[in-house]
Amino acid sequence: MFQQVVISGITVGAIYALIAIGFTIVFSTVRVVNFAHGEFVMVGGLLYAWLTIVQQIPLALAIPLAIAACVVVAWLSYELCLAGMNKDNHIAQVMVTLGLGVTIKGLAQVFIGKDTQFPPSFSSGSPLMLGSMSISQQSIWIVGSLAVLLGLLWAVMQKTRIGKGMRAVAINHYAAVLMGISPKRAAIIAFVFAGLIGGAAGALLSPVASAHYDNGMFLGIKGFAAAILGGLGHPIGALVGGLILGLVESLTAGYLSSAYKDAVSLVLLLAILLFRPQGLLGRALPNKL
Amino acid sequence: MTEAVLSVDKLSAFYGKLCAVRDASFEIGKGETVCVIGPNGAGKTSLLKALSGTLSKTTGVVRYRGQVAAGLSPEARVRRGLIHVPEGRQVFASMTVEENIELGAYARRVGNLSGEIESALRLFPRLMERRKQLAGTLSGGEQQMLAMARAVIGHPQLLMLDEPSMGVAPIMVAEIYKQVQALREQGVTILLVEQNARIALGNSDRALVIASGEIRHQARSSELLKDGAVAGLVFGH
Repeated sequence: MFQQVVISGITVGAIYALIAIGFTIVFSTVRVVNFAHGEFVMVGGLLYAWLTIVQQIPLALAIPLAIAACVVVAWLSYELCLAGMNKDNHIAQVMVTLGLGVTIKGLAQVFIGKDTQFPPSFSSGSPLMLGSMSISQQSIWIVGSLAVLLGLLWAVMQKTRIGKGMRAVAINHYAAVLMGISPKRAAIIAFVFAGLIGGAAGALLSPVASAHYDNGMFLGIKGFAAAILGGLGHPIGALVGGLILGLVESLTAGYLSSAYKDAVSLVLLLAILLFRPQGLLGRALPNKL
Repeated sequence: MTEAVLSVDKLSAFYGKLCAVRDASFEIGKGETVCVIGPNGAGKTSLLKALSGTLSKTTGVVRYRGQVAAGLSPEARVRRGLIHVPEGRQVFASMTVEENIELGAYARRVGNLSGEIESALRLFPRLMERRKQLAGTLSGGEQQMLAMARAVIGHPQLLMLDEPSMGVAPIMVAEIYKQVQALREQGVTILLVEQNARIALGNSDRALVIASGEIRHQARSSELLKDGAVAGLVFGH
């Protein structure tokens, strides 16, 4: 029982981590908490379901199409809503992302529909047996995708010119401008990554948890909680926060009652905000005058 | 003076409604080093920010290498070799010394920089020793050296230095100004802002004396060093 609970916790935690990365990457480059991010995840799942069930498109095509659509949604979200705004008015920016989230949800409801959909797993086949544990194929896809996407993100951030530029914007916006780095370009790339990873998270989750136009806010809150838990702005923090949140929820559901799992995760978030507001991995960076 | 790298005509710069620089007009010729001196709050830093485009609320005309700068974003100015080493260094604290220097060449879009990073590190032996260290762990003087090295790798056509001696140990000030001299000898055009007027005048061809946002006086640096009347304004005694 314990092992099974841990496996389900890691699977859910990997999804939370993927969502949290989207919050973190946008927050660190654009300094905005993007409350529409959960809707990007919802769009990924809903489009994947719609393409496979309604349009009968093969999986190998439906997955990249759904993710690509999310990238476009994320890019347009920045370009149409945030790009022209006053950078220093954070409250207004947050309000705009909230409105954006409602808009995306509304469009999804109108154009794709209100039905809950149950799309197919990425690969069919019997679960993998490890001793007495059974690991579903979709769980392997989820955890594997997390590893691949994190590795990809790490490589882009550490090794490429554009990634180094984005880190520079995150560390010191003013100095980055003086290096000739365009903050707007960095913001667009941050949103593209958020759309890509968020869309993938949505598509990966939908065979396990179904797809519905109204899921975005819930997914966004879980991802945001994971990002805060690990330390907003830290990709590794997002990973750690997501996994911890997934495990805590899964253990609560397994040994207490699934009715308490959201309560326990929110209490955890509250405790972090009270006692370690910078998150588990967050720390004050050395910065001399 | 041959051709002007920078020509500024009636430039004013504002923070909201507050006017930080008023009707500044001056030119900098190719290869010249011009210093801006004046008391704290006189508008020296604001002048540099207006020229690099990071303070965007301005009136008047700035021409950089013949082109009107008003339509150029700060990034576009950097790509054209207008490089600003800001007050307080502004290094990327959680990146290594090497990564900081590499970012100095961001706008040049060159592929392999390892050779150039080596020669930038060679300017300051202390940086060479600390190349893998995070920039935030360096001392103030070392950070200033890093900010200089990061600017040099950007191939400046006009290098603007804001208070390179501020908060820096005197022995390191000497090392930093040795490199300023080397850049002058290589023919780099420099606009130097310094609150330490003796250092500024000793390391420049011409000086702009600024007070309350206005340029009060322009003269050769060597003359200002001798001139008692201006010394009162400049040195504050």
